[in-house]
Amino acid sequence: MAMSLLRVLAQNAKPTISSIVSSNLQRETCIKCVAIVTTPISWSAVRYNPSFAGKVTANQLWDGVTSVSNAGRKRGRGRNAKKRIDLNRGQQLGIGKSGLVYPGLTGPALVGKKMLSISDQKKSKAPSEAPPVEKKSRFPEIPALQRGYSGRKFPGTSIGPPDPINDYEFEGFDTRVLEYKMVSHMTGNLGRKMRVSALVVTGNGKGLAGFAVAKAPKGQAALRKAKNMAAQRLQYFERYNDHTVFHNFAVKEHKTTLFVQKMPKGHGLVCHRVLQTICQIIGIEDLHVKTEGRTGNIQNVTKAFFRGLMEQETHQELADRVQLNVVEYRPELEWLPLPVANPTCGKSRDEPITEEDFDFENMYYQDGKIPLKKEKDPMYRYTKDPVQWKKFLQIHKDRNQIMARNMRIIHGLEPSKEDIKLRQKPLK
Amino acid sequence: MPRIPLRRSFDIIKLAYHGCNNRPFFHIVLLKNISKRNAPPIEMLGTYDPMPNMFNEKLVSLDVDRIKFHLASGAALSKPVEKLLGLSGLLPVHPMSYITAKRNRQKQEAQAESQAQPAEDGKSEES
Amino acid sequence: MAASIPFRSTSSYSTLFTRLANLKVRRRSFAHTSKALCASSEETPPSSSNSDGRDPFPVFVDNKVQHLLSNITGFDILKIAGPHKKHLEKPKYRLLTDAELKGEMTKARERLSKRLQIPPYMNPRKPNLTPLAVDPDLAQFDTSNYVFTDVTFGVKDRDRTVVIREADGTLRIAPWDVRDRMNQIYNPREGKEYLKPQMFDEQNLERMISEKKYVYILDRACCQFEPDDPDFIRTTHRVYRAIDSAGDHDDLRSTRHFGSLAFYLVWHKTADSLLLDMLNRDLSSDAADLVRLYGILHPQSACAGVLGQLSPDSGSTAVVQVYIDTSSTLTSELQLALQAMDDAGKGHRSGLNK
Repeated sequence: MAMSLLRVLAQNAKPTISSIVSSNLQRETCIKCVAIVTTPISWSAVRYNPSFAGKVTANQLWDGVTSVSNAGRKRGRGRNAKKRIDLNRGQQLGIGKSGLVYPGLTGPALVGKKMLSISDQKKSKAPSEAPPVEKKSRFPEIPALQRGYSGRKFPGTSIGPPDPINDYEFEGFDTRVLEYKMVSHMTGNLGRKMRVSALVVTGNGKGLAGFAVAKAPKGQAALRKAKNMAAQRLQYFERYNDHTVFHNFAVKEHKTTLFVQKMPKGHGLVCHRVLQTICQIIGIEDLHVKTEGRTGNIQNVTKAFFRGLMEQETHQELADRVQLNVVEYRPELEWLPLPVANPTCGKSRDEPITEEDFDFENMYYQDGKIPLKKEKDPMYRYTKDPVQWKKFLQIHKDRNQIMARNMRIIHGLEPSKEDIKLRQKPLK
Repeated sequence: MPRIPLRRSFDIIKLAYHGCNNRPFFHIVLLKNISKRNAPPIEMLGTYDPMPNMFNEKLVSLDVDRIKFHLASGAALSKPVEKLLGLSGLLPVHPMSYITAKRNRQKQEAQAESQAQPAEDGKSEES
Repeated sequence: MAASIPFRSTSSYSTLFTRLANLKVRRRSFAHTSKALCASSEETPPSSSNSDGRDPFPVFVDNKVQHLLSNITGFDILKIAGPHKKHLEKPKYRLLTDAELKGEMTKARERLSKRLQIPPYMNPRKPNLTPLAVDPDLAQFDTSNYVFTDVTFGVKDRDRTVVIREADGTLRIAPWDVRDRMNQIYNPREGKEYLKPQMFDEQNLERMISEKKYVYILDRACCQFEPDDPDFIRTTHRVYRAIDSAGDHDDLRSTRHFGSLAFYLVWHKTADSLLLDMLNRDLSSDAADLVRLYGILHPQSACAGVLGQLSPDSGSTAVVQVYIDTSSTLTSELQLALQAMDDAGKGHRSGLNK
């Protein structure tokens, strides 16, 4: 038995054994090998091991890394503690990569009376490959249009309609997150205690909308709380022709000022992204807003915009106040005078208003202050940048040629691109 | 006193070059004879586009009323303008136009003959 | 050129004066040109499309006819003003008293009524082929033709003198297509193109008609062509026929083309479906005006005779009845529609009385 083992080792494991023998004892190699193999007791020499690895179990080691003390858990520690990892994942103990069976070690040495050698053995099945470790992304993939303002954050995303109240379902409602942030306060016991604060706006896109701020230890809870709170604070805003505001106005909340401008249909929303979101929820399509001061304070921006919308004067209210017909002149209707509001009493007052007294554009700014409109140089972009200027000149040089060429092609006066290609082909 | 007597100055209707490279285009203008070709004109009286368009036409526009007025008040004409006005029927046809036409005709006849000659020769050889 | 100037300026003044004297002769040729042009635009040859062989233009410009046509056009101010494609611009607001608002509305109506000017109904123009001067000595003076355009200040496009000196030496009045092109080059108009747009080709036109873009085609034709251009006449008449067969007369109401449509249909005695459309829409006065128009355009017809005997105060129903009795082809339908309209009117009146 021992001899067979020796032979086996001599055949297969020779390099390993010889490597541990010092070079100046080459002549005694063979004898030593025999000695080592034949006396298994002397193989495990007792010596001092400074490592803890032999003293504690794997479980104990993992506990040391992953567990948190009871007192610590109360204070909220260990939330981000590491998790246990299965280090043997995808491996089968006792079988190597080559799948060889070593007779006497990992398999029977004898079959009947015949002694087996390694070469006699068939390779066992290669250990089944470890299932591929799926790289779990930290966040699920979100389609671009539902992603909000930026990659992975909540602001700008939709969180669905508010929860139904007593069989009343909020049909056609949508809720958008405007702000989502960690807030904290200090406690005697726990120290810095964190919570999540969420500002959401909910509405039906037909003038009905509300907003609310709510805080909760968990983000989802904060969002739900804010959403349902917003659903109970709905306000109705009248819109002009269901697409814009009634007039220009300015509104100020602390250090945040908004200059809101009425815009014609087709203009779109040109404003702060938070205001764009609110407008989409309310159902305003065309608006221009200049935001000044603290534009990062989203709660103030929201408050100011809602207050401004609420304080608007409709055309009917204006007509009743001044006792005159409010008449609109639209460019696409050939500046045809179209009365949009008449006094409710059915008759206007007799004396007309002078043009100086009525400036609809700047009528609703406070204290007679009107926004400064600087005239922009239309050529600014080109004249300041030499590269752009060069491009501009290039465009100027052949600005009509493409169109003229197209017209020639249409009227069959010039060979088309396909014709030219055909002509340019070599004759063979 | 200048030694060389000053050139006599008078009004003249002539062509001013206003095209760019390889694309001539002319304005018919009233100028002093001593002024430069493209000097700011006293009056612009028309245009002349010497490149035939896709309908094989050369376009000339003439402010006929003003041209008549200036002719009557003694303005001179440059030769090309005189030719143009002659062709338009506003003035008698310029003699040079007739000469050019005759030369062109002769040239064409000669060409036709020279083309006809080898063809006849070839025919005779064949027969 | 530079060498020739001093020569001409110094010595050949006498020759120039003789030439100026000759100008008279040549002037006559130009006068002849303009006369010929005027003649060609006025002396319109008889139309082959109409059996009478009359010229419709003098009838069309008659005040009575114009009045009737503008009456039946209708005046829906919002349709006339219509939303046009414009650059984005903010609406303007004013606070007006009732009196001011009324004044503004009147002004706007006056302004917009100019949009309803009816394009003239004319026979196609004929080419003028008589040369002004034939000069065989000038043959082959150049390889291309010379086109001379008079750009004298204040000359209108229709009166503009355009002559062409052909390569064989002939001087003649430019054909109509050349004149149109020259007008567009030297007096460009918005909406008109130098070459005829392919939209007016037979195939494309049929497609546009099948898409029912009548007003667009007619508007564009008005921009592109002169009213006596054969292309204009062909296009508009094709569209009028399509509208009449499809019964889409209402599309043209309150546009400048409704008058032309009515005139075309009445001139060709095919106005029955239009009359039926008017009766179905309860436009009794319009229907009566259409019948009166028929009487004016066809004075020899039986209808005109009976209309002349009718008293001027007689109602619109009586006038339409005359047409149905004398010259209609859809007699039964028209009679039914007239009856229905009459009954509805009576019912309405009795309802008012109650």
